Amino acid sequence: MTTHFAYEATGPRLPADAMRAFGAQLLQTAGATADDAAWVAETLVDADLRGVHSHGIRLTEYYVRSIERGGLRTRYDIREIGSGPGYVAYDGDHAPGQVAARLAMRRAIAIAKVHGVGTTTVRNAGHFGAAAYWALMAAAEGCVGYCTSNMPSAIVLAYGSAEGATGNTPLAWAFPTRDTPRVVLDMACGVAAHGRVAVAGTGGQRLPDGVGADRDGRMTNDPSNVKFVYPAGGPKGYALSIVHDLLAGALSGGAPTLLKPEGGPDQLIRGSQFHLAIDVRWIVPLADFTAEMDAQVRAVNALPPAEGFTSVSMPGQLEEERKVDRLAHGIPYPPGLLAAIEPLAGRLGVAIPWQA
Amino acid sequence: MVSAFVPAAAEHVVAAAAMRAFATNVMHAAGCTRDDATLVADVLVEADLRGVFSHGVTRLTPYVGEIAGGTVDPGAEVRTVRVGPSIAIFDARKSPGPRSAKLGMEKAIELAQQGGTAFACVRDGTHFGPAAHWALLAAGAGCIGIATSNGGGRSGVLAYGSRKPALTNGPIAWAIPAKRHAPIVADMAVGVWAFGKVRVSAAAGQQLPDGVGVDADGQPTRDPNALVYLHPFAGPKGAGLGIVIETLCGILARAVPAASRGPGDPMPVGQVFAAINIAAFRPPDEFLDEVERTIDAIHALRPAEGFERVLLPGEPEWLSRERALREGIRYPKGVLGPVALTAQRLGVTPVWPAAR
Repeated sequence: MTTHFAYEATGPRLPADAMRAFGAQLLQTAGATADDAAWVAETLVDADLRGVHSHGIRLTEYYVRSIERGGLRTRYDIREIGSGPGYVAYDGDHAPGQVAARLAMRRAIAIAKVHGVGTTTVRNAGHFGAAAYWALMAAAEGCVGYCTSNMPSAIVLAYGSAEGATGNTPLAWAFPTRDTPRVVLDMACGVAAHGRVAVAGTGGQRLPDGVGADRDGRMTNDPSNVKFVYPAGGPKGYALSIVHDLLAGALSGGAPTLLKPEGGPDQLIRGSQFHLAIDVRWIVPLADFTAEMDAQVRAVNALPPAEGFTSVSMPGQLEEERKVDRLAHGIPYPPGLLAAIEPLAGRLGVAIPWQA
Repeated sequence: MVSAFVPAAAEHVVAAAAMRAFATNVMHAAGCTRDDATLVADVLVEADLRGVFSHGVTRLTPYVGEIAGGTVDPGAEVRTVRVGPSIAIFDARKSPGPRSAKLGMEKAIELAQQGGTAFACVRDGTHFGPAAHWALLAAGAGCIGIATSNGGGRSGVLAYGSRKPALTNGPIAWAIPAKRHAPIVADMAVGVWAFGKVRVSAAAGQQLPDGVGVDADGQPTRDPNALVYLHPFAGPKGAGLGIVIETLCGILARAVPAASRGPGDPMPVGQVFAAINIAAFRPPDEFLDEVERTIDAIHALRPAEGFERVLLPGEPEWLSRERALREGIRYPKGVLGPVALTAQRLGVTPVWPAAR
């Protein structure tokens, strides 16, 4: 079994619109174009709506810092560096990752419609937020979506190492449904997202065994001492992490995590992405596929829950249900998370919605 | 990495070529064409060379039984249902699994030369051996390979938070080519342990650790004789990957996902093979060079306490293979006994000394 720890989101509920406007203003004040700022904020607040706060509005702090120290460009020229009938390779020119990812996944979907399968890669872009967002973009178009990315810091241990081997490589697969919530597996290959460890830290929680290791590669329960996280399921998570690090980094030309020139004089962020869409209609009629997906979702939901569980969910189902609830009633945030952004908002002179 | 098996002592040491000839004769005597028999023997002996004895010649017994029982039809022709620019669909019609797997992956490799990425779906397939074998076929052709199959048996792996199973313990494998080093292979089933490992504990009279699985009532058990369902590895992550496998193989490739199978339903196997052509995205030499440097960087990582050195996924199997090619395959006690009985029933003489 793996180790889980949850954080409670107990604060007052804030409307998604207000949080989107807040995030966009932070990014725009830092120098992003109005369009890009709005788009990045949309993807971050989507993660908050889904309860994935590690990839939500809290990331604005990191994005703004990246823009300010020149790691992320707000004016850029994303270029095609190679293409063929079923694929395109992009250079992201250090643009925000979400801007590159939107372009790349949309292109993969468009190719899949005429070709069956579309694949795109991106080198040299910023962090792309939650992988689920891009895979779900394909699912919304009747495609199977699959994506992964890599980033510069090696924070996940290899199986049996005392130093990091990969980033906390995310991978996502999403599938269309008809009447049931869309199915999406979005997993980091580490036991926990580093952001989640940080969120636990802001809430003053201790970590269970087997989540994090300190700078010497020794296990620790103190979130503030965590330098590395363990791979999920030991050798399996490690294998998934290295394979997806190479799929994103080596295929795009953006380099695997261990080979990225981190901290070079230019400080530029060199994240890589891999996006794949399979148009279901090329294989089976979409109505058949979604009907069978619905049947699978219902069959899994009908399973008797284990002790300590109230229901059995499909991957992504709780997040989709949370999103419906939070769109209607606002987003509650874990304690400490919003307070951590306040200094940034103060410095940039952006009004704080929860203090209004 | 996952299933590496280091035997304490070998009962028999057999050269790969002799074992291949023997296994070919067994499958031929069971009704396979000479070509099919040779292919099946290759796949099984390759697994033994890699030390994955659960998928080696020990499978001759069930394979012969499946032909005799009619669940595998050695005379069936694989039908090509459709070939699109990046998609191929085959109906295996219960022919021997390695034949349709080879056809599927070879077609994916061929289509990927144009399309960058191609997927082949195989319907109504049968057991194809280790998934790694087919992913490696793509790696040998300059592609990143993905191969997956759902299981033909009953479901045996729990959904996350469930007392009843929703997943077959089907495998998924990725393979990435290297140059001087062995290809990197992630090959895993989603169960936290293999059932075979539970049986080993039962035979040794050992209790299981917590979190391996549950009994027939869905209650956690440490008794290997009472365990009927396994937990997925890493909780929701392994379970989610299991749903990806069930969906790709069960719905896209038109078998039936485990959760949707009724008690008396036929249990068809679906398989999906993908090839991502590296040369479409960047010069292969650059890619391979980066893979090589990544492997060197991983090898150079400081090992954690209790580990001598840090290996790549797939490397333990490769080391086993190199040794077995030099010194013969070292079969652990108990592996070859049942194989000899199966062979003798078909009038084939084993190539190792009879049991004393």
